[in-house]
Amino acid sequence: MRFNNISFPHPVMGISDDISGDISINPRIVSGLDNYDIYIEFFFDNYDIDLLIQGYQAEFICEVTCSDTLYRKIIKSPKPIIELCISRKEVKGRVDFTCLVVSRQFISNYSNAASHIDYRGFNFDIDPGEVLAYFGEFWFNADIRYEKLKAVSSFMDIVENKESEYTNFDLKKNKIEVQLPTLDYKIFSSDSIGKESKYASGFHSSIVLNALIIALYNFEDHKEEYQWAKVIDYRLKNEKEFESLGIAEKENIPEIAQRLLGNPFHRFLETLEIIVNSGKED
Amino acid sequence: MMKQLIFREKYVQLLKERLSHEEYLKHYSSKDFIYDKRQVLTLPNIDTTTDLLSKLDANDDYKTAISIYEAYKNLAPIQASDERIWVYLAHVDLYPYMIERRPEVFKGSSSNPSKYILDHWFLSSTSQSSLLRHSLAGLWWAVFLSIDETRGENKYNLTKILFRQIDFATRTLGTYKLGRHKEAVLGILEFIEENGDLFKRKFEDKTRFITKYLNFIGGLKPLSYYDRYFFKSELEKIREKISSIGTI
Repeated sequence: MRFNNISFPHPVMGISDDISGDISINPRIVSGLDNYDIYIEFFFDNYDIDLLIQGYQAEFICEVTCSDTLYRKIIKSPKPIIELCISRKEVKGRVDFTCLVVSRQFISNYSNAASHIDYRGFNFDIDPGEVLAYFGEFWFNADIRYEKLKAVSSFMDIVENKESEYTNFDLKKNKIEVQLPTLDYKIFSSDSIGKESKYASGFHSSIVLNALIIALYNFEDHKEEYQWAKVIDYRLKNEKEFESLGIAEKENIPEIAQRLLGNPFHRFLETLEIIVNSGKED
Repeated sequence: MMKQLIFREKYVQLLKERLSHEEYLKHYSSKDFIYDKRQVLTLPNIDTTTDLLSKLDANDDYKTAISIYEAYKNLAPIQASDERIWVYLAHVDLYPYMIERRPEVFKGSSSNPSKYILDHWFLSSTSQSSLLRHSLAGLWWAVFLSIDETRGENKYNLTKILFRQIDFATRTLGTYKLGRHKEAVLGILEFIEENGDLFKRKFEDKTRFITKYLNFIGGLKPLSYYDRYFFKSELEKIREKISSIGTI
C-alpha cells in the first residue's frame, strides 16, 4: 500500500488532514548476532479510535516487508507497543515497516468527531482490515552491520592487482576496491607492516583517504547500487558530526572524508610524534 | 555427504562481465562449462544431492521445481535469494539441465546470446521479479510460495496449479507484491482448484484478471492482514466477471 497522495473512502488519521490530532511512532532497532529486535511505540490522540481499540474492535499492526527475500509479515497488538524479532536469515537488503491501526471486525456507522469538516454528517461501514490510522513508515538495511559501520572494512577492501604497476580504484564493487600492484600488495599484507597497528593511521591518511575522496566525488552515481555508498550514506544521515556537512556541496568532501576516517592526518602525525619521542628515549 | 558449493561474488561479476566478450560466450556452447574451481565457497548447512540432475526434466517445469525444492528445502530465504548459489548451480551442478531447458545459445540459434545467458543464467537483481524469472531460482521460489504443508502428502497440489501455465508464477503473480504474501497465493490457487470448470478456458487471461483485481484491493487494504479465506471470498464475489472473460 502507498500512503502518499491517497484518499480513503472514510477518514483515516495520519492521512492528509482527514482527522486532526497528533500521531507518531517511536521505533528502535537492535541489531543482534542472529536477529534484529524491533520495538515500536505508537502515539496518537483520538478518542473515537481509542474507544474502538479498547473495545477490541480495532488493533495496532505493523507490516514488515523485505522484497529481496519475498518476506512479508503482519504483527498485531491490542496495545500501543509492538515488539518483534526477525532472524537475519530471513531478510536481506532493505526491510520496510508500515504502522497502522486497522479494524478487527465489521464496524457499522463509523464516524470520528475529530474528522475534517468534509466528513461531518457522514457515517461509514468499515470492513475487517480497513485502515483507521496511519502512523508512518521506517526501514533499515539488513546488509549493513550497523555495529561495525565505523570500521574502514565496512566500505573498503585492499586487494592485489597483478596487471598494473600503479594503484587502481574500483568503485563498481560492493566495497571500494583499492587495487595495489603485486609488489606493493606484498609489502602491505606483510605481518610487520600491514598487520602492525601503529601503521594504521599512515594507511588511513594515505591510501584509504585517497580512495575515499575519489569515491565521495562520485558518490551520487553509485549510491543507489553499491553497498559502500549505502554504508556511507547511512553514516552521513545518522551521525551528528555530519549534520551540517552536505555531500552535495563538493567543497565539503575533504572534511567529510576525514571525519569518516576519524581525523586520519591528526592520528598519523600523533603516531609520528610518538615514534620520534620513543626513539629519543632510547 | 558433500556440502553445496557456491561461486564467490567477485567471480559471479567476472562471469557477467565476460558475456560481452565473444571468446567467453562459446563456453556456453560446450557440454561442460569450464570455470575456475578456486572461485568457490562452501555452504556449511546445505548438502548436495548427488542424483538431482537425473530427476530434472526440461519438458516438465513442475516436476523439476519439486525436485529442486526438495533438494534445497533447507535453504534459508536469505540464501535462496543469493545470486551466488543459483549462478553456481546453473553453471556447474545443473548445467546439463540448463543447456537442455534453455538451449538457444548451446544450439547457436540465439540472436543475442549475451542477453540470453544473462537473462537465464544470472539474476539481474534480488528483486522479487528477478528471482521468480531465473531458470532455477524461480522454480524454487514458486514452490516455496505455493507449498501447503497442512495438506500432508498432497502438499504440492496447489503448486501444480501454479505451473499449469508458464507465466503464472513468474510474470503474473510474480510481478505483484501480492505474490509475496503466501496466504494470498494459497487463496488464489485454492479458488482455482475448487472452481476447476471456471478456469478450463482462458486460464491465462483469467489468472491475470484476478491477480490484478486483488492487487487493486491492496491499494486500500493491507493485504498481508488477511488469510487465504479472505482472498477466496473476494474472488467468489467476482465469479460472474471471471466467467465472462473470453466470452465476448
